[in-house]
Amino acid sequence: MGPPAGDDQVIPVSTRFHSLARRPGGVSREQALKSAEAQLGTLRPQFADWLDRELEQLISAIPTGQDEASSDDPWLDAAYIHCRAVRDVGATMGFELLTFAANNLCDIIEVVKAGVTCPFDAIESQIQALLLARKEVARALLTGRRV
Amino acid sequence: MPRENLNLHGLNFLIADSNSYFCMICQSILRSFGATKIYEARTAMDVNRTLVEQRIDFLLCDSNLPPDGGLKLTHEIRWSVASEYRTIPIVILTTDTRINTINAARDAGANMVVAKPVSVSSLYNRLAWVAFHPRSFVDAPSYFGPDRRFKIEGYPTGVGRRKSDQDSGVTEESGQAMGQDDIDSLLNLARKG
Repeated sequence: MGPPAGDDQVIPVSTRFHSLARRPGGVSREQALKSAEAQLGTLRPQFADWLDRELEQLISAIPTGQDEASSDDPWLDAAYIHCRAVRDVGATMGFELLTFAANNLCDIIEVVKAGVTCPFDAIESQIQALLLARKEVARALLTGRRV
Repeated sequence: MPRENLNLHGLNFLIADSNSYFCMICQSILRSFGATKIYEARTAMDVNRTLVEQRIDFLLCDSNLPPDGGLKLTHEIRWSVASEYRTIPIVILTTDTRINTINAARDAGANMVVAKPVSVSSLYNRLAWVAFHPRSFVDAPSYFGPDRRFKIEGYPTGVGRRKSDQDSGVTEESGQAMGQDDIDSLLNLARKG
């Protein structure tokens, strides 16, 4: 903590967002959440197709029959992009397991990019976990249940 | 959490994220909340252009936005002295919720941080918080952005760093101190009503 600066100015700010968002009318919290959950439900069938494409691209980005990788291998970036995409939306769509497995794989890729020896067996395990989570998505869509 | 309704109709939202599928999901959620005008940006350059062209009112920005990340972009927006968007509400979206990242987002001038993957309720709560709890901006030599003080529980050195801060130290003793008998009799009176 430095000495008192004394020249910091505190300025009241009112933006267009602040004035318009508080207008009368609008949507109640309960109504907004219910409507958003219903909307996400309608997106689930397309989500399964998108997920298939992302997993396919992720798996094809990872080299097979290789037991070494350097931290600047281009496949790491390619795999990370697809893995991060799955991680960022899985739980929002109701599939926490997808996000969990994708997050683990992201962590592995990050440490490899930081210079740690590439654990290909751990990557393979996380890919298998993602494929299992994908089956859970298919089951949920078939039965219409919320995971 | 405020009980009032959020009225997002007609406000211009900008979602800045390199993942188009994430943006699409975010758009759906915001539309369910009543937003009608939502734009997307994939890079910081897109953001800077869209801010001006579409007169954006609220920015949701990924912390990994290409090329240099959402925190650097937030810092640049806050330090664009001549820009009318300098005080725009900015919410940072991030998967990295470590305290260092949250502090960095706060110090860059973000209004709020939302953890990814976003949940419908967390997004609504943050929007409502920003709308119903507007914060003053602090203009200091090393910081421009929303007041980072959410509550004052005394200053570390007993003296605030701003001119407007009141001294929170213990004041000088004045008058005669109360004895234990005086305190007991006061408490007894209070108990008897």
